[in-house]
Amino acid sequence: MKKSLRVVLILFLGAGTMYLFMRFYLPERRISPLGEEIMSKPVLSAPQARQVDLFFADSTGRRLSLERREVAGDSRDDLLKQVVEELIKGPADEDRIRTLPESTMVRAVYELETTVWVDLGGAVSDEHPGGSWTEVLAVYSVVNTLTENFTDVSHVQLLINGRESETFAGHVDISTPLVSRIQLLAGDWE
Amino acid sequence: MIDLQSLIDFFDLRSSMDVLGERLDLVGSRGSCRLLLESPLVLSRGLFTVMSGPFVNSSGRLAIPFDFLTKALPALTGRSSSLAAGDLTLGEVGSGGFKGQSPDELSKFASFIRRDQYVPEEILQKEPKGLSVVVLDPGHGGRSLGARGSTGTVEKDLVLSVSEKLKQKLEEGLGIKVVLTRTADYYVGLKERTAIANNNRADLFLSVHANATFRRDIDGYETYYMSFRSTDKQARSYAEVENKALGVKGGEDDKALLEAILWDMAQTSYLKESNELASMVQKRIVGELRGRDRGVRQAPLAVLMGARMPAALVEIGYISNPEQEVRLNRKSHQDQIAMALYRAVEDYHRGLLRGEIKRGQR
Repeated sequence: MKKSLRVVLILFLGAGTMYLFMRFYLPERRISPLGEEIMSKPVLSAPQARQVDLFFADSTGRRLSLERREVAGDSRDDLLKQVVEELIKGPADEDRIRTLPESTMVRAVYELETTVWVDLGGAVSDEHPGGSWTEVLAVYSVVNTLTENFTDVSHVQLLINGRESETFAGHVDISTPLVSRIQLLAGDWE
Repeated sequence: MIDLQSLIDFFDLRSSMDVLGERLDLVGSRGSCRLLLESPLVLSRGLFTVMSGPFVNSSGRLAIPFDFLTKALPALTGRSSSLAAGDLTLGEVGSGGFKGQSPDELSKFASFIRRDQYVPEEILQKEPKGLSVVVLDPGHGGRSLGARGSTGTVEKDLVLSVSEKLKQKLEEGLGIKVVLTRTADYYVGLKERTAIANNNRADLFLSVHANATFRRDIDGYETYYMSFRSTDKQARSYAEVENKALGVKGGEDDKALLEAILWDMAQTSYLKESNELASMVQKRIVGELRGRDRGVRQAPLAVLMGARMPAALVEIGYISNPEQEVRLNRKSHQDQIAMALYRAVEDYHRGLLRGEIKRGQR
């Protein structure tokens, strides 16, 4: 009896040590929205900086309109995140209109193969003014900016508070990964 | 359209319908396919093909679009054919060819189609009929406030008020049945809204919204109809569903996936009419309210996606524009909006009666 208790105790301690080891010493694991488990990329990529064409709305609110800016990041993922942060800062030129609420938080930006996941805080929809087309421009300012500036990015999946959402702010479907809609520069869907 | 029973007899196909009468499997000597009632999709060899119109049940008589002959039949019978959709002439049947068939057989088939298989559109359509049921969808509601104006106007209240006025006008003026997707201030999911329209077998779905943007000086009117997310997305879905949907063993997951795809594609058959509806709405609202015309556009709007009828979404003005917000709050202006929308629905109704608008096949 006493011996079996000791065995149980040792097993417990062993499992606990193992857990702590895995928790703190093994590389961090993430679960992608596809449900696949991916190992986080080692931080190999050096700081990056480049010119990026940001997609904002034009003064009529009908079209997307480009503004060039220098963006820098500590790594590839960070660069992508900084690009989204620049979109949230809004346009420098008064002839353009912002597409995302100023209070939007970027929770995370990460890449899996050719899809980039952009996880935004709830303010992006709660503080969004509303309106169908304003929402189209909000969604595709992010999608177009990432797909058009980074040629190896084919799709963008938007998440809100870490979850897939049926719509961005009540109108536009964002339930699946989206592709670029470059015709929005002319105010057309396609 | 082709009468399905004649086709089954002529090509010696086996058929089985599911208990709900919604799914039909056809089996030929070389393969099988699956048709879904009121859907233009054919599933064959694990792939979707979209026909020019849906598979329909017209008072107990099943009929399918003509291009079934070219798009799905070869997979069942092993015969290739290149009949154009709706094409009835012997010459073209012959020239496109059922390769390897004798001329005798070709002419037999052509005359068979002409005499027995062809169900004239008139039989399916009968006389031109106007609208009988319209579903109006006041946007947002409950926890979903929609756009908010600087002096406190809330979209969900405004659009409910306009929709109620419109409902009354349509019932009195055209004597048609009008259903609202919500009748007070509560939340209704987007899919639920279209489901209400589908379940009521509505002839028209009009979603009423108020607009907003980041800049206060923007004003005017816009009307939308559905666009598809991307062909890319559909291709992805087809790949996912490959083999699964066709398999008789298909589990609940496959069924759910198939339903999701069908939901997404429900508007495909009605895009032309939805465009017409949106144009009529936009013309009236701009004309009668004398506002800035910001145009009819396509957009990937979730609320229109599953509608099995012509569907549009109208933005009745910018709440974010302080002047327009003041106007929108006036009951008299709301009456004017309702009247403009009434005229648009009436235009559509008359267009149907005059046969100028072709009704979607159902």
